[in-house]
Amino acid sequence: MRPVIAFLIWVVLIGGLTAYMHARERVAAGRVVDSQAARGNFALELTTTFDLEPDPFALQSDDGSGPAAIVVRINGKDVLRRSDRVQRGTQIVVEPVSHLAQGQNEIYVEASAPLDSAGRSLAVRVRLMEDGRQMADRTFWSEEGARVAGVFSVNVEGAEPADVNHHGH
Amino acid sequence: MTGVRVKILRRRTTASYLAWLSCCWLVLATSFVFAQETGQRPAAARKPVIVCSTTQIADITRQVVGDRCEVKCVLAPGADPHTYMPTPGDAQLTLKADICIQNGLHLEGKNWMATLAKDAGKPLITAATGVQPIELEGDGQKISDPHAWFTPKNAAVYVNNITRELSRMDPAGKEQYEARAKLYLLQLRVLDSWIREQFNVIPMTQRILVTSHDAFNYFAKEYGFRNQAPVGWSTGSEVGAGMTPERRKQVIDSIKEFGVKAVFVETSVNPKLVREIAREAGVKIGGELYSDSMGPSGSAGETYIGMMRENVLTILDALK
Repeated sequence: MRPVIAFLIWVVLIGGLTAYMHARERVAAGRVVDSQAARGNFALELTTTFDLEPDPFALQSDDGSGPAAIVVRINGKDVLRRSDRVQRGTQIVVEPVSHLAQGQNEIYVEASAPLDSAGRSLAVRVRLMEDGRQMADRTFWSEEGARVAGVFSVNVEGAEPADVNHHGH
Repeated sequence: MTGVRVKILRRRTTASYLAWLSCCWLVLATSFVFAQETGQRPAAARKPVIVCSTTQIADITRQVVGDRCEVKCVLAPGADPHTYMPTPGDAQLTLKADICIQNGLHLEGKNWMATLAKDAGKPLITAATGVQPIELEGDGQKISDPHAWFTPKNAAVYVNNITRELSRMDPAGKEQYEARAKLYLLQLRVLDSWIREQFNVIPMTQRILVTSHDAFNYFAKEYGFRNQAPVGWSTGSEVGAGMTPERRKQVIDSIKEFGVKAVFVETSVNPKLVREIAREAGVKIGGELYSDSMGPSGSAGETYIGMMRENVLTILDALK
């Protein structure tokens, strides 16, 4: 009888410990909250002051896709990745815009100019539209020779086009 | 009385069982938590060792791996990879390696790095794989110029090759390698842009680069220079390598014809020949360029970016 009791106590203790560890992992994983997708018809409009060209200095991915000329990410997920040449002044439109969530969203833009454009300042204008209404309008500039890259936050939930902050180079 | 003693003994036995179980539980719980903690820090043990052939390859590799790996270099700063003869110490070093990295395109004369890696049974990465080579003519044969690192664009190919292969070797470090590589690639892009801007002040007709050996073809092509050298693509004895009287005469004629302002010696090549040519042609020595090897520790040319920057400033100072 006593060995059985001892075994049961052992099972309860180890089982309790294992259950506690699993619960702790679940709680940690649960911290990444899935936010609800934003409702509405959104479009991103991008215009560059330079010809877009694939970046020969890009880190090449394992999937064999070539270096990108322009990349837009919303909340860390690609919504645009183009590797072809695009003439300056050409408006690039992304519609519909996926990965936009209700609340705060972070939009990252990265664009690559030809190497012989060294010595000129470069800029990319980004506009976020909702049903034809402008929600955000940002222009990112680069230092000579660098890639244009910038990130800004936008709240798509409220009535106001509440840009919180932006930074880029 | 006996019944009471039996009860006490039973209680003691139950208590000892419980004490024993508690100890087991503590040991198990501690080891479980400890195992989880150490699982997050696998690098606490021995660092992987990477043995590189040249100083440039070693520096580029260091930029990618940071402190996660130990990077060793066979060649000392200033040593010539074309004529280098491996020593028993190099063989010992390669035996300790987890992976070896070479430039390739026969920069390492008689493939000494590939031989070292093969003899030690170690995997070998060739950093120049995928570079668009410049083809040179030598004794009727075509040779791919091995000095591909002389443009930041080609150095970016090296970075990509090294990052990809090391990520395969050490998947746990992939994210770190890629993050460092991205930052380094940005620096290379800025370097390239800066070089173009600097050379913009030298008129195209004055962009003539005379150096000890034919190492600057990629650099010259990228930044609009004509280049001349009395010694071929290698200082060794390979096809198309070494100095010929015809080459020597051609260089002196070019200097006179184009009114070259200055010629340059190289850190890894004996300067005697270029000094003679400068005297004969009546031009000054513009300075010393880092070519097949970077500078020693503590010098401005101890990194790839530093070496390129110093070369550009030396050329600019002499030719503008």
